[in-house]
Amino acid sequence: MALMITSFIQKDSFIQELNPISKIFLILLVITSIIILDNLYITYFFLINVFFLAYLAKIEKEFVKGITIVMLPIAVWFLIIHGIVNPAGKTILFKIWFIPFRKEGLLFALNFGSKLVTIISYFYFFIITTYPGDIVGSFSKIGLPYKAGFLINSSLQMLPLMQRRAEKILEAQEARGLKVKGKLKDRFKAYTPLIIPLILGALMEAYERVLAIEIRGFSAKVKKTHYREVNFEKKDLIFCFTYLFLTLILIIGGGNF
Amino acid sequence: MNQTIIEFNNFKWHYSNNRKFRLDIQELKIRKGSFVGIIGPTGAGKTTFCYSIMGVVPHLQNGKMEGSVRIEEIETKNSSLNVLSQKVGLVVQNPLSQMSGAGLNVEEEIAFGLENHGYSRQEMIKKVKKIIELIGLKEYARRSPFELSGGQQQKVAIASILVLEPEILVLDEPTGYLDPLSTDMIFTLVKELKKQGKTIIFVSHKFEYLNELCDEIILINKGKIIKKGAPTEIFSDISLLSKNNLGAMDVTNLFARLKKAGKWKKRFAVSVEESEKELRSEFPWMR
Repeated sequence: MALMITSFIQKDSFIQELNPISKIFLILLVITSIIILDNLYITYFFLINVFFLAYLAKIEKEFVKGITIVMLPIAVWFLIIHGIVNPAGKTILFKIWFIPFRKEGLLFALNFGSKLVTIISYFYFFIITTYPGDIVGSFSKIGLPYKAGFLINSSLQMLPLMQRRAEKILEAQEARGLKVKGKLKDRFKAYTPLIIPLILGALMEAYERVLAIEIRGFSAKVKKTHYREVNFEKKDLIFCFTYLFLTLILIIGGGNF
Repeated sequence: MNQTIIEFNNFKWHYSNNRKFRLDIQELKIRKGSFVGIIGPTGAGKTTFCYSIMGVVPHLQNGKMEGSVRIEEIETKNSSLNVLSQKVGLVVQNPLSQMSGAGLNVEEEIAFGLENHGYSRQEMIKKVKKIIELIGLKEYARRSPFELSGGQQQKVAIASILVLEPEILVLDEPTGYLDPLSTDMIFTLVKELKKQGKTIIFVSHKFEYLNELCDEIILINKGKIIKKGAPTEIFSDISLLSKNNLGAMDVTNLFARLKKAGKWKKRFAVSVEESEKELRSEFPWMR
């Protein structure tokens, strides 16, 4: 496997080989049906489906780990905040110390939180199963702006680079005697000096990136071509139609669940 | 070969966020196919000089420009970077700054410029393969440029510019991050490019190499051209180099010491070969 600075996980499966547009089409279907139907069962259907797709893509472990790290704190936070302070909350379900948690607030958090987790899971699935270099090509093929594809592609690569930069700054600060371990307060203190060099570094890098792309003709007014071949194949068609069909069934039968 | 390819006329540039610095070049003509070395201390204006040729100044920098820089018939001020990028290629000191981020591996990174200029996929594959072999990047072709060492990254940066086949190649301290072996490889490569008729502007502190390869040396300090001349003329002038915060080569310093000791009256040699020849002729016992 080629070494890459990106969130993309290279595995030998048809999911990784799908055209990025097929996966974006699925995300749009999921968002639309979750919002239109406002049905918790349908939301959970799609949530289970994304885990199934991650299994098919042979990335289930990485997917579960990533989703847990990102979504668990948000989900817990959602439940606590809405359970306590949601104005719709009336029925006290239980108390922790003297703080009451109300049923209506918790149900709202469960409903809204599940939708949020599902939608974000699909985006995360897209990021780790899509080769960023294919995004620009697939966008251009369906007439979407080249710059939009480039923006998504470079952003996907920038995130791991930012993470790496943060690690380097932290190591440098640590080498100069900064305590980065210990109590939560100490750790919070340790991360504060990281912010300014990280942001300034990122801004400078953005300027350098502009220079790097412009001196290689980024703004040239010609039809852009692509080194990587990205086609919309039969498997993409089957994938899109399967999910379109499933979504239509869910929408038609939505009220009966 | 006497045709002028780069021409500065009453050129003045100052950055809006740095009032103290100003690049001021009254007149400068660089011949097509020549190899010009640019030397000067830190902050002298070497990078701004390179940016002026590429058109980064004034197109990507904030500041005020007077006069003109012409690349053959194109006036940089009235042109655009994408037009200039077909004539001029710029390689900067930090190879990481040169990565577009568009390509996930070396091949794709090199192909980025070709994609921008609309080359067909077949042409791209051919050109990328050729340049990868020329630069010696074959074993890294499928790896991410961000995972490579500084030297390898610099090779990728040079390859990504060379693949566009610009007539003028501007290299701003490209060997700054490289080990001696990779430095040697870069200079051998540009030597080859010179033979192909490319015009090369090379900023470097590696005087030994510049002395060997350059047709002309331009010494820049405080935003002005202090002196322009043949490599031997510039590098043998220890007082000129010292006045401009530059150190002479070891071999030249040796002759300065001999002069101080009253044992040398001739011009200072600037290369090992020349020194050997001069010393053997001056001191018969060395033969």
